[in-house]
Amino acid sequence: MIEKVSADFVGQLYLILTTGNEDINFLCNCLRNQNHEAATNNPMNFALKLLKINIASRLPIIKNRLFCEEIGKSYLCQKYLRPAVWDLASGVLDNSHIVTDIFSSAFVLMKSREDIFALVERQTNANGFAKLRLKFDNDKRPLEHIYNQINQRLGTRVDYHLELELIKKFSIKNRYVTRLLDIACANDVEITAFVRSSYPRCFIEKMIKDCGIYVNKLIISNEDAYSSLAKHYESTAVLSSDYSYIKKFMKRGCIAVYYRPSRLMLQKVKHPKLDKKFREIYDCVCGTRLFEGMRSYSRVYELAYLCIAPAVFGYAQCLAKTNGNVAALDHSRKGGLLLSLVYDKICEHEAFPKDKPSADTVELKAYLGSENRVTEIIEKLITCGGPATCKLVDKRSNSKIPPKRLKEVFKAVMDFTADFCKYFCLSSEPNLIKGSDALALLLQGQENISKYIGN
Amino acid sequence: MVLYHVSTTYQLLFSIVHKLAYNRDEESELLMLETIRSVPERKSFLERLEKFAFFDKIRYVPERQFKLKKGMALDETSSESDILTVINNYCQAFEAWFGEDLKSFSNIYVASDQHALGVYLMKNRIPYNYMEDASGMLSEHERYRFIIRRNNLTNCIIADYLGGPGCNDMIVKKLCDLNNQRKGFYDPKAVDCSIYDTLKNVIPEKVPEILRFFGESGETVKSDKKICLFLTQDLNTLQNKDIELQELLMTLLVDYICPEYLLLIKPHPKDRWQNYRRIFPGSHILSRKTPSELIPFAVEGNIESALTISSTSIRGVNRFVNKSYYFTTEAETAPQRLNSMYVAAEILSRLGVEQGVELQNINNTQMNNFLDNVGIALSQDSDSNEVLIDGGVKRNDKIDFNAHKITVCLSLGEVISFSTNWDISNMYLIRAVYTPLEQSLMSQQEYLIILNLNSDKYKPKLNNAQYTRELKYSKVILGVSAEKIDERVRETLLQRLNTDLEWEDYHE
Repeated sequence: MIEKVSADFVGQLYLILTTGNEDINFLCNCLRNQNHEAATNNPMNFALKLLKINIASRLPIIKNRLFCEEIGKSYLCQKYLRPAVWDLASGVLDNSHIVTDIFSSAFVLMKSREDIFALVERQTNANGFAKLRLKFDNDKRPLEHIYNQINQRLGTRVDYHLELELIKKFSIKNRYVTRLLDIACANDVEITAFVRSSYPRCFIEKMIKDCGIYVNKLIISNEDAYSSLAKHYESTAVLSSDYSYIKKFMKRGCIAVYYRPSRLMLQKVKHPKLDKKFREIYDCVCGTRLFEGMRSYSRVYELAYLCIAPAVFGYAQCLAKTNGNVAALDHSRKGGLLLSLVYDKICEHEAFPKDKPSADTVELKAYLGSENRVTEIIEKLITCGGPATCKLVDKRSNSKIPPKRLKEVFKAVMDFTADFCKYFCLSSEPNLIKGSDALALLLQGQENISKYIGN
Repeated sequence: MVLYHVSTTYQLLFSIVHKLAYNRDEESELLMLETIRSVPERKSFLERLEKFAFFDKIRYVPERQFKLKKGMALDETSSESDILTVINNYCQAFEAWFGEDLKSFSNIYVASDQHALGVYLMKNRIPYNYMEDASGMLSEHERYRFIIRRNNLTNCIIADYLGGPGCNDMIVKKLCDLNNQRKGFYDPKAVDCSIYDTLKNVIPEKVPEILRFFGESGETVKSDKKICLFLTQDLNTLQNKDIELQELLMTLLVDYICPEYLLLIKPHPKDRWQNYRRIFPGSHILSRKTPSELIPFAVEGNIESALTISSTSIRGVNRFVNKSYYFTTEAETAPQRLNSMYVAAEILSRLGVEQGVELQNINNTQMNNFLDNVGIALSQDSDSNEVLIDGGVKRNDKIDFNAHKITVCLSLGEVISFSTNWDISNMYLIRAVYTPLEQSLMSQQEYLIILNLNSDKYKPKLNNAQYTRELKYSKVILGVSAEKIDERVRETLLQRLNTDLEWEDYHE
């Protein structure tokens, strides 16, 4: 039967099955990205899988089963696979025009807007500011007017430029989306940035320019001359991380390019029980690294990044905070070498105060043991992923890990260290990884660490 | 009547030239894969071809349609019966669409015979002539197979089953540019058919018409500066598909080879993924639809050199450029080695070396490119070699430092090129530090080179070897410094050696 069906009809059917809501769109694209050939060479089977996603996404009772992946147990980078940026671009280039909202796609905000408002309040001592700022938030009004209203209400003189500085500070370029727009630009696809924001034009233009993005037209919702959306957008793609934004343009005939935010991808995955604040940071930082889309990561790397690295980093933090005996680390052993590298990296960062001991940081240290045994323990983490009990440490492992795999583990741990240090540097709050959180992540991944990293 | 089948712009040009030169009076039909142009361009492209009337009948082959009808995807574990089923389905789909008797054609010319027509011909034992996929590709069978496999595993399995792409025994002749094949290539069925020679010598009167078809009108590029032609590649065919790495690689090579030239960029027809306007501001970008073989006919002015990472098309431009630089696929798999090689060539140039360089344990093509670029010639005979460059890819500490006036030891492998028993009395450590500027894709890197100077002729010039340079396209500052290797430095190098050796043989 399928032989009688035309390619265009198949394309239309695919569109209907994949654009129901953001979860459907995301999961269907992941399925397609996992195996391109299967989609076209075995269409019946593929269509059934799409149907299953559609049905499950619309039934609240079984919806959660769609997101049943767990950190350390599932290969998330393979499951939530973005297409290569040039592969995604090939679909966009069939259009002559692309509309994007820039802020929620080309930039990653490392803090939530509520946190930004709270920071402004803390820095200016304007009590009640954050609540009012949220209340008066309106993308059709310029930021200056919003601040005038708040200042009148509170009797303060808070400058809106502070918020702009914080937004700029906590925004990181999304390399995947900016590369996609760069490819569009190279192919003379017209780029319109339609930004729903109260921020001033000069600020938005500077952010865009600093990012290396070129847009043909910039429309901002808070301007007097803001024009309403055109009735139809022929041959236009719409790119955003906000599915509601995309839906609006799809109704006008645009092709949807939904970029699911990286932190959201990790939020939906099952975690072990973690401290709420740490989890927010963990999801944001790890999600950005693993799911941005510019690189794909192996299972070894993912396990090391998500499960081993927090333990090593946490221990190194603990050493740094409690003036631990770094000299006792055996640099000739891989575990010792790794720990000392992480320790050095942490100490490089000015944001890390060395004079303030903290009770909860010693939890991990107490669990893992003293410095002269920790090198063995860390090697054990790498080879077996098992809980570092005294019994295990006494037995020297005879396992051999290929250098290539071990180097991947090292790379993952060092990348985790760099990412967290960078985040802490931005936030000026040296949040420490609690021992219980690090151990929970380690235990979560122990079975697969043993299987895929150890022998 | 003759039939041509193509899937790329190069193959289309080849077919047009071949048809006009050797089948001028024959009625002809052209089959093109849909993918030769993107969806919005297909209709207008077909109309344009029909207008120019190189062929009497032209059609797009709906491979996407046939894909749905194959019935299943194949891989290395597929059984013979599955492969035959898919082949049958594929051929039936093609036959139903084609609607003509292939045996009625006096000659059939096929490029990319892993697609429907090729499979049909092979399965039904119909003789055909094979056209090489790209200039020089006939001698790169493994590489070609790798590309096919990457693009479409099912078609690769089918092609292998039927004898291999371009290898089936139903092939009568293999049309190719013999001058651009790999050294030592031989195929008894290969027949020389160069686009450049045919255009220049057989059908020169047709050149303006062909240029107009491909969108060029004698595009003139005039400049006081020397011109470098940079040939890009289809990302899909590269070993490393990291788009950022490819961008960095391109900018580094241009910074190394021709930083002050006018850059003339010829994008591969399928290369839509890099924004060359942004990456190389001030360069001139040719239409990607213009086959590179037409460049000498479309550009006024002398092209001093041609540069590519690993495109075989560079062999086709050798005729009209003074020098060409091809960096092999190793440039993608081990790009960091290029940095050391470049610095080594620069240092030798600054020391005043002009010739007599011997290479060992290193990619000769790449190192020779850098040496040639600074005007240093390789050694012609082994007795008069002043300089030895050892790449250290495979560790070999048996270097006779007394045999050469200068010995350059690069550490291109996993282990630093140094040894406990080396005499350091004439040794210097060169550090090349790459410091990225804002928006650079490069990270901070350092490369160590050991330089042994036996001759007093070169020691006074060592200061010249220290310099700082901005690599403008890569947005990096390169700083090169030299220091005498004393006991302290030796200890540091030995520590590094021990660490590298440990990683190489890691076990508990």
